[in-house]
Amino acid sequence: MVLTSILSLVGTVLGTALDVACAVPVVGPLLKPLKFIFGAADDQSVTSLFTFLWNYRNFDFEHFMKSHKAALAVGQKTGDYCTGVCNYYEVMSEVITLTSGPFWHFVPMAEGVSRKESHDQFHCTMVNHLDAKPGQKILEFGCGFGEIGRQVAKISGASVTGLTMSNAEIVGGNERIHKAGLQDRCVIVQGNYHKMPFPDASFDKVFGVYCLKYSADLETAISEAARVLKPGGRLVSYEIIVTDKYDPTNKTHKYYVDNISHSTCMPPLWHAHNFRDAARKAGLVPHSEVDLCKPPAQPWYSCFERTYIHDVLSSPLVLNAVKLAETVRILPKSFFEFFEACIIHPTTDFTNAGRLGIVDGALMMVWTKP
Amino acid sequence: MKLLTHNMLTSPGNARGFPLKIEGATVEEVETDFNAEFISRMVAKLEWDALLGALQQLGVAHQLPSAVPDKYAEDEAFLKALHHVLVEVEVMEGELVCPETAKRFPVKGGIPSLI
Ligand SMILES: C[S@@+](CC[C@H](N)C(=O)[O-])C[C@H]1O[C@@H](n2cnc3c(N)ncnc32)[C@H](O)[C@@H]1O
Repeated sequence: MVLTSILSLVGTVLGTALDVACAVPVVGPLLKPLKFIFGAADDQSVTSLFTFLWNYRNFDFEHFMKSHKAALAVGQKTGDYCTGVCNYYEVMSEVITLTSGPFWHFVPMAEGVSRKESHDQFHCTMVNHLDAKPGQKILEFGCGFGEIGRQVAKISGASVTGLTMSNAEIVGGNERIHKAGLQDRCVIVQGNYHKMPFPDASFDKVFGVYCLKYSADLETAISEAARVLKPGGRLVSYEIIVTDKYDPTNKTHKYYVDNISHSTCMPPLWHAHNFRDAARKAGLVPHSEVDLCKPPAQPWYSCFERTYIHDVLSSPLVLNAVKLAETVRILPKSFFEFFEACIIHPTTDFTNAGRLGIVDGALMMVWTKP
Repeated sequence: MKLLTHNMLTSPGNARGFPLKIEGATVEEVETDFNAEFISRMVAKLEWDALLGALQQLGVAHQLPSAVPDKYAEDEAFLKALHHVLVEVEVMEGELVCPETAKRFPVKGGIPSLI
């Protein structure tokens, strides 16, 4: 506990100092790699990686990896990924928060704008797309710890109900609602977005971010979102998808895209036309569709590039060091397998697939319910 | 789980699974700031009978009328009574029962689970 606090304090102080130093002409750019090393403890940095290692030094990674793989196999066989989602987020909600902060999705970034500021900007963008107003009732499905919902509530004055699956998420989400003092307007409910526990026409607006990628039955999920929406209401979906460039017969393409799905216990990624078709079948009318990461915004995966985390994690040196550390028992059993599957793969595969243009992580789609 | 939340919950996948009956509840009362505007805005969104039913099941005493009064926005006594039951009464533990299928869903640590 004490060590974690010290690490995060040191990380925050150094992070801020570096932000200032990096802005200095000429020497600034040379200092940038240091940012990755000493970033804040809840951002993508070596400090956060060490905090994570310390907190999880006694964790049973062997058991987690076994259940993770078994649940993925069940999902692939039955099309029901719910057990897998619960199993994954039971552990990963804390791990992602420790290593990436409260944001479990990619957002547009611009040169000179911090990751935190970029996410703040995204929350405003979301409020605009939702056209969220004071007093409205909004549903955020697949909400994780519910950070986007709380920000939407704060910015717009609306009430936000979060729906998500794992026990860890509802407990952590509820704590965060209380910490933010938003308990009169925000609430979290445990449930499955394929079978929502709400009556027809109960929300003014409905949205989901990076969560329909977990659905193997997009039509049911979107029809449920449409059902609980009031006539005149909006559905907003911000997702990660495969693009027209994705060719499943291309081995490299398939390798990256499969890895993205497998590492986080997901079905294959959808294409935008799957969303459009499902929404049409659900009786929704297209309102707007924008890719938030069109230039001058940097690519959606740029958070991994700007911190050099992609380069570091994909270097054989790091892999071998981790492997060695597990062999000599500095790191717990099966840590290497976990590190490779759940930490390295998502980072490197997203970046590589993004660079090839076969995956897009910044599509904002909006529909209205007539 | 506040009664404001209970008021919008239904048994998943069941169009007639509303309102959920509350059983074996442990209730806590938490004082919260009164915001007349917020409560007044909620009135139109409430299922009134479901709210009264929930209060009865919980055995919580209240001064709410059997129907929403016409000029509720100016009726401070009414809004205060409603504020109390909607956001200050919190079901911490218990079970929600589907009126149609009798399927049971737990409330744990104040959070309803409808999986
Ligand atoms: C990548 S996280 C995104 C969290 C949050 N929306 C964000 O962007 O920060 C995916 C979320 O979807 C949730 N999820 C996946 N399948 C779900 C389902 N069938 N019903 C409800 N939530 C689900 C997971 O529990 C997790 O919280």
